[in-house]
Amino acid sequence: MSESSLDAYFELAPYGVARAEKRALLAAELSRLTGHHMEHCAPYRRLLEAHGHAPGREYALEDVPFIPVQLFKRYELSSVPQDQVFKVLTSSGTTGQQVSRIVLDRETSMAQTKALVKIVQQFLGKARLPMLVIDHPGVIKNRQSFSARGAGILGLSNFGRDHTYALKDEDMTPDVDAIRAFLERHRGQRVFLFGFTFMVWKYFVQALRALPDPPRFEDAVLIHSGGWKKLQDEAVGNDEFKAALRDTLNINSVHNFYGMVEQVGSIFMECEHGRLHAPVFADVLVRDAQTWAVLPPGQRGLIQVLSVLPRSYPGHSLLTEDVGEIVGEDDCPCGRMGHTLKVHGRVPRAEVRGCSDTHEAPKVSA
Amino acid sequence: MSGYQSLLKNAPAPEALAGVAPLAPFAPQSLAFVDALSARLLRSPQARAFPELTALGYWMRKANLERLRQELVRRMGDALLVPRGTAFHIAPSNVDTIFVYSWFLSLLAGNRNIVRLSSKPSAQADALSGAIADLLAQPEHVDIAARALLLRYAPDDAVTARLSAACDVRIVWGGDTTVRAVRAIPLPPTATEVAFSNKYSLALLHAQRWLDLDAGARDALAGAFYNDAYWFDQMACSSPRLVLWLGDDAAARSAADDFWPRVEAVIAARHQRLADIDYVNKLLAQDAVAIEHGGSIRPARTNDLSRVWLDKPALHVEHHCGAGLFFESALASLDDLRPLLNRTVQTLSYAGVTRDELREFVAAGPIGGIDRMVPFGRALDFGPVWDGFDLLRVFTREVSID
Repeated sequence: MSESSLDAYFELAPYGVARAEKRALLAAELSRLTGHHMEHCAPYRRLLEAHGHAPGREYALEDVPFIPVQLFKRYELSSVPQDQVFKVLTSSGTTGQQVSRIVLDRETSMAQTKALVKIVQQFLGKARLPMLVIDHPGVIKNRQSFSARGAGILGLSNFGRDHTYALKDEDMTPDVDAIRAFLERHRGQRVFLFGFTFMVWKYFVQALRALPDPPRFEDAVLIHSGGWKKLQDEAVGNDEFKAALRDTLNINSVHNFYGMVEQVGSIFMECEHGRLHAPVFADVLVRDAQTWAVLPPGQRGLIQVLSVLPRSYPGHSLLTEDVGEIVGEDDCPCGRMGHTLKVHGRVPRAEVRGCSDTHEAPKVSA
Repeated sequence: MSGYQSLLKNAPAPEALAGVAPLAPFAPQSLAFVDALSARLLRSPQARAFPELTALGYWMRKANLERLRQELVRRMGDALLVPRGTAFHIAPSNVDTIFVYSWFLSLLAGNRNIVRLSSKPSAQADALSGAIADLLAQPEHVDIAARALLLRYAPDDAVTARLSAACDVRIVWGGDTTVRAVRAIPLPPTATEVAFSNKYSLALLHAQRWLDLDAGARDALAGAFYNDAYWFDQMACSSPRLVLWLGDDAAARSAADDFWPRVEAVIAARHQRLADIDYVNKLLAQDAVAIEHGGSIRPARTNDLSRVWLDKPALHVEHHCGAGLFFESALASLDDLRPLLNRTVQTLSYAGVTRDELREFVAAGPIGGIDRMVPFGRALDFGPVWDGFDLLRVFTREVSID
């Protein structure tokens, strides 16, 4: 696969390409990638051939074949020889759950980093900002068994300096002294906060809110990700989340992003108007599960994510288990081009009606 | 603390059951109760919303019970059969009506019964247990109420052990996991057990004869197949998962091309949209089978139907998730069925093949699996012989007198 096609992508403004051109570019590149992975990943080829696809086809964007993201939990799908494997990413997952295994070569890994830089710079600027990590330092200590949380923190750490951890290792309570010292060191400067949505809510906002005098930030940008499921259980939505950050801590710039270990790099960042944006490297479609038909804006369905970054594994077109809707295209008041998305969370898991569950042990929730 | 939730008011304690004498086989009180529930199900709009409850209602009608009785009489000859005592039924969660079939066969045999329902809620099971509780609160069914416990509890070995200690025969539905777990819990030395493991089922069609049928007959069979496959989300042991076309590959494919659109028409008319996760799981299963075994994923009108045509027929049970997923293959001759069969194969539902042909096939050499063969449309019919066990015999013991 030629690198030039990707290099050309990095020349483009991450949110600067309008519909017609973006569609044409993506369709051509994703068609090429489909052929590339058919050639280099035998299981992927068998799968696509079973669906009646042959290599070398040119697809319209909507017709690019997709595979369920869960497939990466069952199979290690690789399009590179073993000696070119640079690292294998694994998804988080509660104990006992299968994890995704994503095979990266150097090229794909670098492309992911580059894409992430391009995207995040749009929100943080080019200079590295003082960074407060809303987690405990232990989360990145054991590099052998990296959690997705650790990997996410390391990935975003490239955008910060003076990395300071806001939580204590022992009990995840806020390290208030460290936070105040961090604020003191960077008076009058813009700072960057990163953490996982649930951690930010539970161990940062809620804990600090209980203090008589919570620390007040001056000019802070928070980027967070990881899903809303646990917050939904507590009936906390994005609006309430943002309001609490604003009122308690004076953090006014808050950006969620939607992304997954199966497509690292091409993340969907939330803009000032609360919409998740597809960057130029990626796109999103919403499908009706009953027919796989692509749904128009405003209709809920399963989210399909497309990305030109995956070269070493056939992850360029994935059907997720997330429910969402397209909000619009090229029409966000923030001025960024591309599809905008709203994510409604995981598709509900039905009760399994298997033969063998009357006596199943109760599930231990992690 | 009993550790279980009784679904009946004023139910006896499990230990107290032994003090109540069993009834005679096909006792009038038992027949009256079963018939009363039948009438109720067939009348109730709530129950009529579920075809499986209606089917159960018909099975319980007087005429059918009389057939059952005659069948038992015929089979037993001059053997003397008496109730075993107390039966403990552990119901599965995939087929909500099984607990009634299991309980009532035992009841008709004369036994006292402890019935554990699945702890998973279901509208069908609630409708049934509600109707049963109402009837058993009436004075005319007091003899049944004195001999019945209907209960639910989350998996709890202590409770299962307590109930097991009170029984003479334990019937474990619910598949391999349940069977393994329950088997570890002791029974009284005099008690016995019948366990139903995970089973899988097939449909067999004769390709050329299918093509020779008139359109009306084909539509009727497609409707019958729909009932077999789509009730219980295709998760009953008897739900067909592998569809085999008897004939050469070309005939098989053209028969299949005619068959499935007819099934899809029935689905469109009668079936509710599946859960989104079902569609995703079916795609995942199709893709996994394609990766591991090749084959061809056939297009369908909607994802309510999902097919994989296999070059080599196989059940691939580890990939099957129900909800309208069919593996499919051509079968050159009936004899090619033999290598597919093992003890986990339960029902063969058939169309275009005669009973005599099937009897001949079984007689020609021992088969490694298949407990029952039924025409299309009857895969889910409950029979007193299940998985090779004659349940009325299981629920009785024979007294021999020389």
